[in-house]
Amino acid sequence: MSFFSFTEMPGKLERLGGKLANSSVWESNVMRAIAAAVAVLLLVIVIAVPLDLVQQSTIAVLAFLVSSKIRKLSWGRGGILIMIGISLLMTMRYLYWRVTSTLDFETTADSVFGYLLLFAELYGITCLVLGYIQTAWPLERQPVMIDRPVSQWPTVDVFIPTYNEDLSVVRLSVLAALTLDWPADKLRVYLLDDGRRAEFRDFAQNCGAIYLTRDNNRHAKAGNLNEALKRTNGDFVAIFDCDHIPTRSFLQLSMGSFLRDPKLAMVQTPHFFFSPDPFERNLETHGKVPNEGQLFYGLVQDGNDIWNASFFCGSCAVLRRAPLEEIGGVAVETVTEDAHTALKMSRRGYNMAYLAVPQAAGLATENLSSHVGQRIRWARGMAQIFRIDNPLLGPGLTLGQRLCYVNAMLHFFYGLPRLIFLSAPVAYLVFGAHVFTATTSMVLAYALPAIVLASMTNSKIQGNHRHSFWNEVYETVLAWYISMPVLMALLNPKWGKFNVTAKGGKIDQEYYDWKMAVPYVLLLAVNAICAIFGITELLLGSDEPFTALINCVWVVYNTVILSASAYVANEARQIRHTPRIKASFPATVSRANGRTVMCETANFSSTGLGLKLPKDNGIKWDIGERVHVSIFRGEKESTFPGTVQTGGQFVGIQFDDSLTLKQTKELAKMTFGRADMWATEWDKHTDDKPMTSIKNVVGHGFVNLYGLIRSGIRGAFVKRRA
Amino acid sequence: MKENLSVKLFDSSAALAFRVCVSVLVLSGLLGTAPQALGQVPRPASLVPAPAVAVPAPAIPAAVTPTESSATVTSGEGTRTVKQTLRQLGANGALTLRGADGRDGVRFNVRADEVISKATLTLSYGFSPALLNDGSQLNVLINGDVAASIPVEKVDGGKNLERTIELPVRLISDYNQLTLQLIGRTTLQCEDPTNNGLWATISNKSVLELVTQAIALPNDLSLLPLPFMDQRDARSLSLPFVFVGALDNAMLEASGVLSSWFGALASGRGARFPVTLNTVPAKGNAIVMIANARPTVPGVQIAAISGPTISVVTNPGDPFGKLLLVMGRDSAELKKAASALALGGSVLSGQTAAITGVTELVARRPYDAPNWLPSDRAVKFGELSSAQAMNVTGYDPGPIRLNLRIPPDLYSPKAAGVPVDLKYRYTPQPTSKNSSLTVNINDQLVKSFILFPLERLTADDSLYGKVRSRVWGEGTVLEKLQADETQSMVGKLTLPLTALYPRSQLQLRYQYDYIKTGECGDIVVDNMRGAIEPTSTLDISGYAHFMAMPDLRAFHTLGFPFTRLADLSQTAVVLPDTPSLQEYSAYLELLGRLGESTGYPGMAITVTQADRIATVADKDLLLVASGSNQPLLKQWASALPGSLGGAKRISLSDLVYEARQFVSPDPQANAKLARSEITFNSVADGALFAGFESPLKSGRSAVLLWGVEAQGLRDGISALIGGEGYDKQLEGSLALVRAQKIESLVADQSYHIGRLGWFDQTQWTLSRNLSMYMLTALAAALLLAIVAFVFLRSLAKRRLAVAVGVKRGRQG
Repeated sequence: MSFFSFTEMPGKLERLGGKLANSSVWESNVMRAIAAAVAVLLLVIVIAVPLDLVQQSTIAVLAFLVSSKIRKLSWGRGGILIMIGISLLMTMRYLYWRVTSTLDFETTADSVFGYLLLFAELYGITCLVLGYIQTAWPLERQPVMIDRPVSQWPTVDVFIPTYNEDLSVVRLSVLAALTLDWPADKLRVYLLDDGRRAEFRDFAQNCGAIYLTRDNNRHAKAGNLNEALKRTNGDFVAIFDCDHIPTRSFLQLSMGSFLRDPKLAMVQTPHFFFSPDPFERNLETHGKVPNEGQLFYGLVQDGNDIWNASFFCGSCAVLRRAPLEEIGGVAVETVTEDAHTALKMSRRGYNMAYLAVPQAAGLATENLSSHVGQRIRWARGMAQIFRIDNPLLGPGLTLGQRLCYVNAMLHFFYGLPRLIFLSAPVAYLVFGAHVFTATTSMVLAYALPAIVLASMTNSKIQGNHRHSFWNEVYETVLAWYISMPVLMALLNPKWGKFNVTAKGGKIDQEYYDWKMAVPYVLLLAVNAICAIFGITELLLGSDEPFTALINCVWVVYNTVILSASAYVANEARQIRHTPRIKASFPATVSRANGRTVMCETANFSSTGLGLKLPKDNGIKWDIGERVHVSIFRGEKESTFPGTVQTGGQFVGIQFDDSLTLKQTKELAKMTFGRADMWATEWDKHTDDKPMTSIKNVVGHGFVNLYGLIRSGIRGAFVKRRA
Repeated sequence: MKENLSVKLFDSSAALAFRVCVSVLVLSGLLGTAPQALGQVPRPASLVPAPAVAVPAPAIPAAVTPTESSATVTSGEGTRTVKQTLRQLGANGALTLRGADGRDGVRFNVRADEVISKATLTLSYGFSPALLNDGSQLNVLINGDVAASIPVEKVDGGKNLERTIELPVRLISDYNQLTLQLIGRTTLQCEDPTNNGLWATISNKSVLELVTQAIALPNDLSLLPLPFMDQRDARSLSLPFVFVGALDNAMLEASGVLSSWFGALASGRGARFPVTLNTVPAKGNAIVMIANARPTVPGVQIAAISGPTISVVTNPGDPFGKLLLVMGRDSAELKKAASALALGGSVLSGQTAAITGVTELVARRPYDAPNWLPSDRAVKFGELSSAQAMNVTGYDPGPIRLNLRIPPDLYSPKAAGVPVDLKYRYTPQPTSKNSSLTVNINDQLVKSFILFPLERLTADDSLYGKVRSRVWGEGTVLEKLQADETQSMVGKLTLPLTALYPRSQLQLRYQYDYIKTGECGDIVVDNMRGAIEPTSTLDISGYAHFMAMPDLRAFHTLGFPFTRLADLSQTAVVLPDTPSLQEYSAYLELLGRLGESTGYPGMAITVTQADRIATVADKDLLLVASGSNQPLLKQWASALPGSLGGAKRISLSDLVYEARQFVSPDPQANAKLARSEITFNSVADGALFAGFESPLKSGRSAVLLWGVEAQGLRDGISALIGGEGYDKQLEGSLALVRAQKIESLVADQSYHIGRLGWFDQTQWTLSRNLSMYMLTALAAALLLAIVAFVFLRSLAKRRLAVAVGVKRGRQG
């Protein structure tokens, strides 16, 4: 690969860069080491040079211009790395200056607020740097063909653990797992029921899965899996959450690597959700703005892969049995057993792989409180691992692995720092504390370029995986809730309790989850007080009008982010119990009158289909008409009975409840199980445009603030009436 | 009768490990004077004046310095009367005596070659009207003995009184302490010793008049540096140099060695060295430099010499005056003699000493001047002052003073301070509120330590103290101190670099709270002690030596950069081809100043002229010139901050307009000054100091002392010596001295001297050159990107190769 990837004829600069990067000089390790040392040395020198305001501002502008030019050029990886270099330089300059020149606090208030802010900044900068390392080079691994006769293919056990989920949720997953393309004698599907439900046992027996249960629920999901490990013997174990429906190609795509690399212990694939998460639903961004998972599975895990540090995410993954048993099965010490299991296997020198092709799909958390609950669990678990099996310490890991794992854990510690940022203007505007012992213009000259360049660089790296500022909303919503559990877990890994994420329900009526929103409303109030102080100070004439103004701008920014966050608690209605998935594949409808209509599907769910007919087709549909729908996959055709729910150009059809198991299995195979089902839709968002993004967030923020105030008043009014 | 004597000398500063070996051939008894025991100054037993020889004329060479204007009246052979006010003896303000037993005083000394025949003290004083006749008295003590007791009459209370007292001369010795003591009573009942009605003040205009009689000292080298330089004489030193024979550069260098030696000995007094050729002064002491195998000096009998020789003889014109003959058959031998004298002067004995050899064992290192604070290690206070001086007694003893000479070129990119590790002891009071040890630098407060009373030391009531004693079972501070007697209180502080001048004084002052115990309970037990441990340290080793030049202030205060090497081995003095006596004198006096700064003779000084200037290209240049007698000034006109015509005018060169930084805080005023032409009022008036980068080699400094006329140089030297009447220092790169007025005209800093560590150097360079900085920054980012790219690319290749099982990765 050349240093720059080109879209046009390469210019002089690009040719030079390409030549430089492809020079044979780099084949020598000594040369590389020397170059690295020189680079680091230069960086250290440049970071510490004291510059005055004008000089610092000049280099800030220059850095900005260079970076934004490179951002627009298609310089591929090389361009990104240069942008990272410039961003690191400005960030480190800021950090050096911050630590050496701005901490000469005078009063106790100054010190308290100043060091709090410094702590938050240090956290942010650490995460920024680790993030650059983590995402500098996504590996973009491709599936590997299995190039040996079927008789030599290994045996695979599919584990589908369940505890209290509805059978309707689990059903489809089990059936889809049964249709996986793998020799039937080498594939066993196990339904691991911790709920010990007869209904599940019967279902398993009927459909051809193997039902396993145990007499206790020790260690929850991890314990369930470990129990199953003891009672099975396949060479490999594929694990799916009970609401994750695999596509039939899952094993074909993920198993190839195992046969090539005997040290490979795990292949993880993305988690894809076909329903909107509460953020997407309540902020109406589904399909427009990439969600959190998009960043993690689209970029972070792929970036981890180059460092051999992709980790197990609990579902949609295949693990080799031997290493798993070598470490004593799935880890049970923490509540994020998945990541911990991967860490333990990495310590033993096994390889991890991440394949960025969605091969399974599931339901997202359905409301804010359950979403928050899930994140609390993750955060707690990561903090527990950080405490009891810190990846920086202990044997067996490469530096890259350590840094990636640490970043994965540090990521969940953002709660406290973010709360500090959100309430920081209080320090100056209300308490008159000076958190920097430097002039405001110096602070701006150092801090702004660091912030702007970091945003620009991340926006370039993350491209379509994340849109700027939206993750601020995501993190802000969770900040309050995860900071306490993380702190507790850091103090003592045993504190706090496990909670299960409930999925698969519907919200009948729009409501505002006031209880969830309390922290944001409080933070909004704090910022409102700051705004009052700030405006008063500006109007009455201030000793430091510039400082006051900057703090006011900060308050406005906080208000926007907080408003958008608070509005996430406004639970929108979720009409369907089973969400519809947009998909277009050929179908025919055989009507009762014997006529057959050729059409395409518009969407489908586990219980019905939406069909798209040609315009002005003149076909009349009776509501309740019984039809047979055929879906095609290549040459293959499957037919299902159903009734017409709506007519017109878009026809809604509901399948009969009386679909046989075989039919349901067939349905799963033809819809959820299609190999390319999710890959075509997943991660196909538009590239990030920070300015558009900020406009959208601001728009949401203000609209939401208005809505929030309105629903607040209405809520109060309703309460009084009641 | 000959004896060989080999002596090893140690420098005053033990840490410098500088050793000199001087072999001295002592020719004793040659002129009939028996050698005296080392260091013993013979004094006549009686106060009978020496035989009078009727020669009128002043005994002391005219040397009126601005610092001293004590009236000296000479009457009769060797007799003089010296009137000195207490102010001249060191009392900066009126002496204020407080309390039931208040004391204060001054010191005065008597020269070794004089005795006191009469001493009178004219006191100008006043006292509190509250004092009672009974029991109150004002005592005059000399060296602790009562010289007089002045009754205190209540009727005179509050008035300004004057009284003349004859002091008994037998109480007066070489070094004397004149103390005034108030024994005060305001009541016949129990006196409150701190009653503020108990006071008396003695004006510092009170006069001490001493009539002295000169005595003839033996001609003995063991007395050296007496009588040429007498530490007891607080007046400015004036010591004529007489050049006999061919006056070449080596003779000048030899003289420079001696003048810097005497400059070092004279220290703060200031030293002047008038010069004559071939004739000795009629009166007083002189140094005679002779480069001739058969030395002849009119009126002086000198035996032929066979090598470097030092001899002391009586001035033929003055029985009380001495001539120090420094001789060699040629000027090289003379230089040897001068070196031996400067290094080993105090171990010579007899009237004449032949020097067989001088070897300097260890070369000087930069910044190792004995008077300077070592900048390569932490310095113990014990090296800076005696343990005795760091022990004080009383409730409010004066500050303990530590004089620090700090290299002026200390540099730090960060404005950190100089760490001081203070260890101190004190007498804890049973109870007190406000006792403290205050640390000042140059009268600026740095830190104040509370001197905890016993109650705080025995029971630490603070939360922290409780936790400490309960949880860790730690004892109280007192218990700890008592358990280990070597322990003392520890205080850490940081002296701000900005407050640290090249000549600084660290002042540590104990002040005890006086606790009243009620009427008749107050007994002043003078047991309050304070001590600073000699093991306390001060550390300037963390600083680099780096400085923007030219900086005449550094030259003025410490002779920097010439004094960087204490032996002046990096200094060349450039004299005119045909110097006048004033120029010789100015040269010697400049070296005297440098010696004063370092405390070490300029053993390796080089003197040269314009035509041989190339040989000293790699040295710092000190130019002495006047009028248009130095052709170099014309050649170097472009490098000088001002062009110095022989006329009455200085027009400032263009460099002025490039000046970055001005001396005065008001840059406009400076600019105005700089842009104008300066016209001299009178022809012979004034001198000028200019600092500039040596045109011969970059990074080398040059300082020019230029007199409009040769007489003007005297003003220049006086300004350097400074003292009363001078309210400014030389500053910037061009300074004009007229009479007692110093005007600093230009302050352009065009070059830097010293060396930073490579890191600081790059930082410094980059911070001054933004485009270079930007290029470096860009290079850093690009190199980082390329290295990361190359590394990640190969890492990705490896990772994918494993996955695919063959070397052929998808990415190729």
